[in-house]
Amino acid sequence: MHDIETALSDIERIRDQLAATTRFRGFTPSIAATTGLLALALAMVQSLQPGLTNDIRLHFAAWILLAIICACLIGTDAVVRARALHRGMAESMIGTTLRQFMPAGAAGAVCALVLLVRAPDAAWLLPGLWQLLIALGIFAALSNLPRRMIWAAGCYFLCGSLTLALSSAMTPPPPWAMGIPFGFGQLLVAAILHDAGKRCGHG
Amino acid sequence: MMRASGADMAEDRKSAPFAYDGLDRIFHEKARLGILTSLSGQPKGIGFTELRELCGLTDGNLSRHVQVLEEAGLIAVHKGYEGKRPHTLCQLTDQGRARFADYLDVLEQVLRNAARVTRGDGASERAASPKPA
Repeated sequence: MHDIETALSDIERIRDQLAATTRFRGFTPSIAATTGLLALALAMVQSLQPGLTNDIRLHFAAWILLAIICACLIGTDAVVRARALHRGMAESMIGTTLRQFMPAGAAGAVCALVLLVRAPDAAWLLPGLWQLLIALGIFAALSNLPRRMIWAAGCYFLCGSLTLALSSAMTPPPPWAMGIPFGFGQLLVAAILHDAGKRCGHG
Repeated sequence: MMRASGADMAEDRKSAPFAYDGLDRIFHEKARLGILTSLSGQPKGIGFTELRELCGLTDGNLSRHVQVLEEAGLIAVHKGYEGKRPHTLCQLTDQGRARFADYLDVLEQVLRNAARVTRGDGASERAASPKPA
């Protein structure tokens, strides 16, 4: 019985090793593109209805709600797709990917909570910080993502830096400080996933 | 070598629960299992010499097994130079990763069945509730 348990734990270890070095194919271009278009749509609504964004908490509540919707869309799709494509490795790969993205996601949530509750005057920092954190999340997961995803991470990093530099002390920050980086950033992510899918012969 | 589809394998499991068709003979060989396990954690591949040391094989033996795995499309072999010395790099392909993962699933199923039998449960229980591959 002990030998069987040892062998089972060896298999688990090999599977984890395989999962850690295999490209995660749970993300789909269509979902990434949808989240980008949603970001552009929200920025457009906010810029056409400035009254909606006068209250900084209301302004960011809309973006936080959109981020939660997008995370649910991407997460659900990724779990379903990963279970179908990666079969036995799926749980391990989902766990690895979550561990790579979670620190950035948690840091983004803490920044939002602290700035909006304790220092709303400094909330103009949020768009730039969120973009930098998304960049860090993608950089952390690069080993399990298509190689070209480094361009998306670089793009988010550059946008985050520029947004921080250009929107300093603008309260509330212009809607396009969120809409352009996240909209086009996610469309770039979708294009890279689409290209990687074609190269692998998977959709 | 033809591989059974998931639906075919599920059907086979019902009719012959201990057939284990998923135990692909290409993987089910001690040296090749060692080679694939060594390569599974190295996305950029491993040099021939390092692989030989990790698996405890002779040059001839390793070459033979590497050739079998390469012909099956499970590993890619890149021949080049490191400085002035010839260098052969072996790397698991995407197909190799997927098929090795499938093989591990079946191997795990075999062991779980063995554990159940050792504990005194019947084969009928295994046939009734196979672990999804």
